[in-house]
Amino acid sequence: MIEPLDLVFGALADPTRRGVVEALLAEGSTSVPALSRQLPISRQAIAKHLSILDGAGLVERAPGDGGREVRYRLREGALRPAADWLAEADRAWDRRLRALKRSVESRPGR
Amino acid sequence: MAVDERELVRREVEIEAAPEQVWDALVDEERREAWLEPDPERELRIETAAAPEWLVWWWWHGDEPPHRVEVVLLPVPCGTRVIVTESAPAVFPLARMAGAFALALAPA
Repeated sequence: MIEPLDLVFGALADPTRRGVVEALLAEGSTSVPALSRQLPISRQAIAKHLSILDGAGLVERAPGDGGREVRYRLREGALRPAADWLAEADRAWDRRLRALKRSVESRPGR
Repeated sequence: MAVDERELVRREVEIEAAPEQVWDALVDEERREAWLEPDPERELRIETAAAPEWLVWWWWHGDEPPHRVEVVLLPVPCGTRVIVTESAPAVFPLARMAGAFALALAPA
């Protein structure tokens, strides 16, 4: 079974898709033509990457502004589960290392 | 030091004891389980054990992708610095970046 978290991390495993996400972070929204000016790949490839990011719940189509091109934006909070997982892992290791320190330092005869 | 893109977590602690004494608490299974917080569902396999400085294991739950845990022991004047990194080569190549993004993005 594929967890949503795995989908998010899997989608970000590709450097081109990270580039797309970075562009969205910097600019708020983007489009296939705009990305094709920034990235050295075809419009077709860009559309495919956007569809993978969409499938992972990371991007969505921005509401139409009457423009000619479809624009995409990051879905709010889409990266939060990943951030939460990491924060919990940090806390867990801090707890474990404190326990290791106590275990070693409380040992008699060291 | 270059950061491995697959690295999820990196934590450190200093312990007032020689590396050999810390090492015993890492490789003795009963002691290790105690400070790792016992978890009967967790599988753990040691990959490399180079006493008293370098230990690598893989751990996972059920069908989840395994994570690699690397523990490095460095002698320091007050005892030992313990550096732990946890990484997930198979699935989470850029989780750290995802985390940074999420913090930049998400409403608190």
